[in-house]
Amino acid sequence: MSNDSQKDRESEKVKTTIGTSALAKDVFIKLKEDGYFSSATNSFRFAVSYAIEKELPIPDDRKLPDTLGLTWGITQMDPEGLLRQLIEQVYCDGELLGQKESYVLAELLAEAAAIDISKKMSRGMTVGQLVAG
Amino acid sequence: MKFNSISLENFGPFFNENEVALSTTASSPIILFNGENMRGKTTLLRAFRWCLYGKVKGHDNKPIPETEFANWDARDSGQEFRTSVKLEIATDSEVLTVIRWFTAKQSEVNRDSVTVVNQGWDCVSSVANAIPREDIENRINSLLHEDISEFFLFDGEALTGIEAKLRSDMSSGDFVKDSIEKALGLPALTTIEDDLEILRKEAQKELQEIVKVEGAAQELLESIEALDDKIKTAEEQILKLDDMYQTHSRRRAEIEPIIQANFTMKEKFEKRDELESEISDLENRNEYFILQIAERLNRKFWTPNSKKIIAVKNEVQSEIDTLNSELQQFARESAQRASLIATLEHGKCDTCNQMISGDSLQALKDELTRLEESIGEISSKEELLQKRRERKQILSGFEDTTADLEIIENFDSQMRQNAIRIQSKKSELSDLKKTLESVNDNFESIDAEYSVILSALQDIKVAKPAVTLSLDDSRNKREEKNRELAALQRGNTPVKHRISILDTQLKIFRESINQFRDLMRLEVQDEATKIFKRLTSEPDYAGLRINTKYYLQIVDKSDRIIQRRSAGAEQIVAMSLIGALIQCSVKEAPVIMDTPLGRLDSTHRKNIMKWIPEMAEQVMLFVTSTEFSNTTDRPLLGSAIGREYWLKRISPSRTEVRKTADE
Repeated sequence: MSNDSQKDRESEKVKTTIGTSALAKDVFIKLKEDGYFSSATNSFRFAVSYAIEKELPIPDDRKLPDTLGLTWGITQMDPEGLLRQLIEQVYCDGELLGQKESYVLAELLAEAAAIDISKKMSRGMTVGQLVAG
Repeated sequence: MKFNSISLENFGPFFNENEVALSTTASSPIILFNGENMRGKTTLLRAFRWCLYGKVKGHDNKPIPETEFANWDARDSGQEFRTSVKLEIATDSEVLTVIRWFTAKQSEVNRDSVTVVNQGWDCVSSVANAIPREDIENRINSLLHEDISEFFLFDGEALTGIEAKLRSDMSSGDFVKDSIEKALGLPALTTIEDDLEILRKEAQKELQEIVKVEGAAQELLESIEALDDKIKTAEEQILKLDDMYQTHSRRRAEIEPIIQANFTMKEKFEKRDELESEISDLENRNEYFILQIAERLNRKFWTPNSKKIIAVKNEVQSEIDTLNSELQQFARESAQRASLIATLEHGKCDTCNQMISGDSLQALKDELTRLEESIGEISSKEELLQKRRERKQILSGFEDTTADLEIIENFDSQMRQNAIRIQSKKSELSDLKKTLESVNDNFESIDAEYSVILSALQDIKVAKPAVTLSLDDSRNKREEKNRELAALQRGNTPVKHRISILDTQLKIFRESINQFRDLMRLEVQDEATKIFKRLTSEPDYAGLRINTKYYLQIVDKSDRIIQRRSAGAEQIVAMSLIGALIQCSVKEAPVIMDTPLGRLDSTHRKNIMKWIPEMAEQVMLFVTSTEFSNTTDRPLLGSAIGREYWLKRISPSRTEVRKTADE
């Protein structure tokens, strides 16, 4: 079985966990350590929201790095379902949501945000500028 | 006197033996020593001092132990070694060879220090045998007395100290007076005054012995003796007070530059604390801003999404409005349809009960068909409306965060401004900390000592007039008693005559010393003025004045005193004073200057270069490449350079003196 088809099958299953790459882990932990978030979970939620607002290109999930950085249970990440609702409501008529489960899309959005935030922060941008810009 | 040569053996960075020829001619009196920092220029100057006087002070005015002069390579060899400095000095009548030395070996306790095994100081004259050790000091002092040697052998740092003393309001006069008296040999003259006083007292005693035999004079003699005791006590008190005053004044002169430097340092320490506090304050503010931003982002993670959510909410609301409008139309059209069906069933109008013609009936049927088509399209939208309402309900969970966004933007803007300020202040703080790295911030002890000294000096100033008054009174009374006694002392004329002559001599001598001091003050003032006018680049300055209180002042062409002197002017004033003291000094001696030009601008440096060959018959100049330019400075000295050497770095612990031509 090829890796691609394996990933396709995995994404078809109902998700019970949410994870990040090692790079995204570093970014979310840095945001937490800088004092902007009380937990990496909050950094993750923020990143999803950031990616939606900036309309960042969604990375191909088949090209995501295999190394997992952080992992949360769905109920831990989104106990009230607010994150899922945000994605569903923003993408309710979109093509993307039709293809992927909300939390898979959340992972991809967070990943895209992590890459973008990492680049911008290395150029000296602050969280405030990321949000306001 | 002139130096013929100096030989350094394992002294400072000079490993093994380094002999340097120093003889010069009248037309080429300058010996130039080129060397960058840390090459041993100051050590070379200290070698002269150590050989001649056996003691050397550092820039902090504290004595440097001679063991510190041992060469590190010789020390680390593990063998016993010798450190020595040999000077060959030519005078008008002889050549003296002075050598100071010690043998030592590396300390077993501390490998960085040495233990002295043996030491000595020898002097041999070309016209006599070896000079007894106890006479060497007198012989050296007769050539160049240690008290005035600081004017002949000085370094750039010492010049800064002299500038500080001249700047000080409190010690400037004492310093100038003391310097002039030392240079002109006045302390030696005052010992003659003491000798005359002793002779007078001896004669007085002799006379008293004669008078004692005369009973009538006995009472007077007892009174005179009592007065003598009183005078002696008062004189001792005055001497003690003078001695204390001098000791405290000297210490005050030593401390004042430190206090002055401490004052600048204190300001720097205060500035450091201020910067640290400001940085801390700004960092605290930024922490507060981060907390405020975090508080919003953690609670409302969709904040960056705010605009998009509002757009979606508006879109849903708009859809709901459209659906509502469509459903209202559906209700209207359903009512119309029901009415039409009833009309068509009864063949008459449902409202007015009139019969409907065939044409109208067909039109109504067409209208019914249209309405049914329209209603058919709308009926499915009820479900859609319900979904939109549900969606609106969900979206209401994402409350509007526009206000939070504005607050975050505002806090972030302030944070970035603060970050720039923090960066700038940290940079300033870092520079300041480097400056303060090796500085001790314990100023209190020196301030306390200074305060005690000032208080003691004030007490002496108050106490001395009272004692002097009492002394004058006792002297007057004694004079009166002596006159009474003299009347009784017929037949003792020779002794009385001797006392009278000694009294007159003392009076004349004291007045002469004062006149001499004043004359010398004016002579030094004239000489300093001549030099100052050559060195200064300010055309409006007319010269220097040493007033009766010995304060050294710059006066302009309108005879006005220049109250505020720049740092450059201060250095030129110090150089002029030193030059004048050398010119007026009772002794002629070589001048050695260690890096004296570093802080001068090009005009002053040029003026000094032209003056240096005239300073003395032999002038040794220690320079770095930054203070002596081959293109601008060398041509000014020209053929006046008789010899030139290069302090060549061999290793961190070794320097060799090489002729520049060899390089």
